[in-house]
Amino acid sequence: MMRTIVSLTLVCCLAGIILGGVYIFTEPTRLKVQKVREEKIVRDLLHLKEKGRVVEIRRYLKEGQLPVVGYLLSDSLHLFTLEGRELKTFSMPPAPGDGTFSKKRDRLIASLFPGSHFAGRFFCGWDEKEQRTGYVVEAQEYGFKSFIRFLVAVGPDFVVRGVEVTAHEEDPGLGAEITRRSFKDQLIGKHFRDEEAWKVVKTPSTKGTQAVTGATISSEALVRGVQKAVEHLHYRLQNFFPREVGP
Amino acid sequence: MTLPMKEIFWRGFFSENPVFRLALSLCPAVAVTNAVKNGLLMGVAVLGVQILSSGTVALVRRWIHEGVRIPVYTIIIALWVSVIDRLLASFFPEIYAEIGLYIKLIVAFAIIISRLEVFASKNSLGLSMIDGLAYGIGFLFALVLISAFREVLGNGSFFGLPIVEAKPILLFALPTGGFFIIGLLMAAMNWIDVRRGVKLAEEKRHAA
Repeated sequence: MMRTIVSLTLVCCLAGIILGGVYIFTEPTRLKVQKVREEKIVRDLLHLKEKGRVVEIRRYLKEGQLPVVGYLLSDSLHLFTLEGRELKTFSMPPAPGDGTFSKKRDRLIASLFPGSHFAGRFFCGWDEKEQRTGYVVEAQEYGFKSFIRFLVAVGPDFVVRGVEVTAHEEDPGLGAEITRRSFKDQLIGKHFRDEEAWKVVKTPSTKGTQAVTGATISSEALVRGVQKAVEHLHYRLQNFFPREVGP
Repeated sequence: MTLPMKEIFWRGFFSENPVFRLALSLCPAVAVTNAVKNGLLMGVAVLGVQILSSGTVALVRRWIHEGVRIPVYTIIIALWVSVIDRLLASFFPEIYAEIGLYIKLIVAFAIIISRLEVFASKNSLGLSMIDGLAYGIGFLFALVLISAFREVLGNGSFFGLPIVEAKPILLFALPTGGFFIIGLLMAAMNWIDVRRGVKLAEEKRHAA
């Protein structure tokens, strides 16, 4: 009895150590790869050229009796009440933007805005003539098996310009087909208020969005998630950054 | 127990084919085989994990306590799956984007653990790896065969390229169709075996 306990414990510890080593070895590379991939997706979604500029805006939330929401821009942190009244503004050291800043920045935010947690983020893009070309918002929605994470790009008019699924665990060949252009590009050109356009249908039609055959749940999840993400982005920009909205 | 290499190989590939003969890992075999590309990638991933796990177990088999061998095998498989998953995600993101979805599923594959228990725990490193290779290729072959039928019938295409103009039979792209195809292929393999058996018997009679 004792021997089996000891041997199983030893094996688990050994496996844990090996996995830990692999994790330490691979994690920095993985994060960098992910960052590069994400930046490329965001730029592609906004049709930005070399000289265009993208700013990441992170949202932090402190729950409680009076919830406080914080928006982290590239060089400042703004705190608001949920109604959109500005509470405080801190200036921050500008983000170096190579993916190495996150820990230091996280600590700084924890000290400036205690009790808060990261709640989401979006990107704002400007082209080489400093014209705002649009926004990309990151969001997730529960699909068939797990969360489908995606990025949605909208123009300044909040019409969808592109959708990219960044991570999901749907079934290969069924739910995973939502990552195909033939499905997700159907959402391009839709305005979030146009309810009719977001209805998921099972047969070809001019209105609505046609589901992937055999994967209605995954299809509905992505469509619903994208619409909700755009709606929320619109709400946030209107309430917290009035100067950022509009043509 | 010493078997000639050719026999080990043939056994894993045909006479004890994981899907068609042992009927192991049928669930993933049905789940991922609606397109040839999916079947192929899954098969390759399983092949890799099978060889590595068989090798590891063959190396450490002397120290594995009899009473906890199954949990230890599971840990070894999970370890290799996680290591491959992390390495691919970091250094081969393009490949990972394609097969990342399949790799994590491999932990629960019955075929891998059965080869560890039946073969690798009793044989040398070299033989165990060959055995792993044989069964891995057998599994890969089965997945590709099933997915070829299912993609052509259920989707009208092969490896993503459209080849049939007619309206495809959706049933074959769904799990139900997967079971039909596996059943029919099993029957076909049994039929081949029976024919071969009859032939062998006839040859024997002639010889006698």
